[in-house]
Amino acid sequence: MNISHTSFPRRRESISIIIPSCNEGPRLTDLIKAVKKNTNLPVIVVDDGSLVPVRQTNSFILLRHKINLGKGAAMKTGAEYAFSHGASAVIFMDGDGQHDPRHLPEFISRYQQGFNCVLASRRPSLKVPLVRLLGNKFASIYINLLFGVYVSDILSGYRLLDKSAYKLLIWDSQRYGVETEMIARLGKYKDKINWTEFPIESIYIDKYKGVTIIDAVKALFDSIWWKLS
Amino acid sequence: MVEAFLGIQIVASSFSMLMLFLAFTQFKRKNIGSAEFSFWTFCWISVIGFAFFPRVLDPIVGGKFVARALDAVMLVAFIILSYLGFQNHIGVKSLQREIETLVREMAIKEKKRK
Repeated sequence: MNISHTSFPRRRESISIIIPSCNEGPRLTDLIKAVKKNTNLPVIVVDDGSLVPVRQTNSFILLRHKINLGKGAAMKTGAEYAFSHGASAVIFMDGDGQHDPRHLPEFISRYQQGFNCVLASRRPSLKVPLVRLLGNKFASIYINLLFGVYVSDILSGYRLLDKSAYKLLIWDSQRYGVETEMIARLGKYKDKINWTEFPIESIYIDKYKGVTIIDAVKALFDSIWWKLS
Repeated sequence: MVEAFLGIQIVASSFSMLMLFLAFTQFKRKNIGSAEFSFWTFCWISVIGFAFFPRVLDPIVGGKFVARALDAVMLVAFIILSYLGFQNHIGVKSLQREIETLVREMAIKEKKRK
């Protein structure tokens, strides 16, 4: 059964933007300013135990984890808060500024067309180290073989989920395995979720943060468990 | 009868003494109870005993499935370690989930209070 084509109009006002953040400092401030320039959607920042806590301003809703739990857990906190406060969809963005807010209207447009899950996939770029490019491509093929769904960039965290897709895709990964787990679950429920992806430019910010080779290997092992469970 | 004083006996007894010391310090810090401390003391003293007097295991081993007595000790140790590893894994996972839920609830409740 496909739940995508709902009969009621999909309102853009009921979308919240969720930004998990840990020690992002001025990058987060710049990102929120850029988001506000591109849209007036509510922004929920989840401060995941930053050493210097994020300062609350009127431009966003701040949720604070007392300790660092990881990106996956912070995304879940933001989503739980948004859906329990009337949101019908959420857009996840990384707090370091690697996701360009100018793509937000594309998410909203595709959501209004009836998609439950919209993924922004980064185009391959020479700015990204070769090992990351190849690793990402390998992961896409591996997940496709295991779960029967091909997403060109499974590690991109720039995504929109509506409430029904969130309920199906809800993840256990607390840290960087979240994106891969979401795609694995998407493969399991691909008949129930109307999903789409669109290309975005790669913005490569920091080689010391984000997904490491250890996270990638762990996610590959976990994927066998996700397949069996 | 004490076997020839081999390297394995030195290693086994040194390690067991260290583990006995760690069990004792954890007992004194009240991280483990007296029953658990007694269990570990028994285990590590047994390891020292088996290292020096492996022949006491001959009736059990009996040449049926392992070649040497110390191999049987290693096998049992491996089984116990696997069990403890699994138990630790389950315990840590459960704690992680509980902490995650707690931290999330605190974050949302704190927001509602403001």
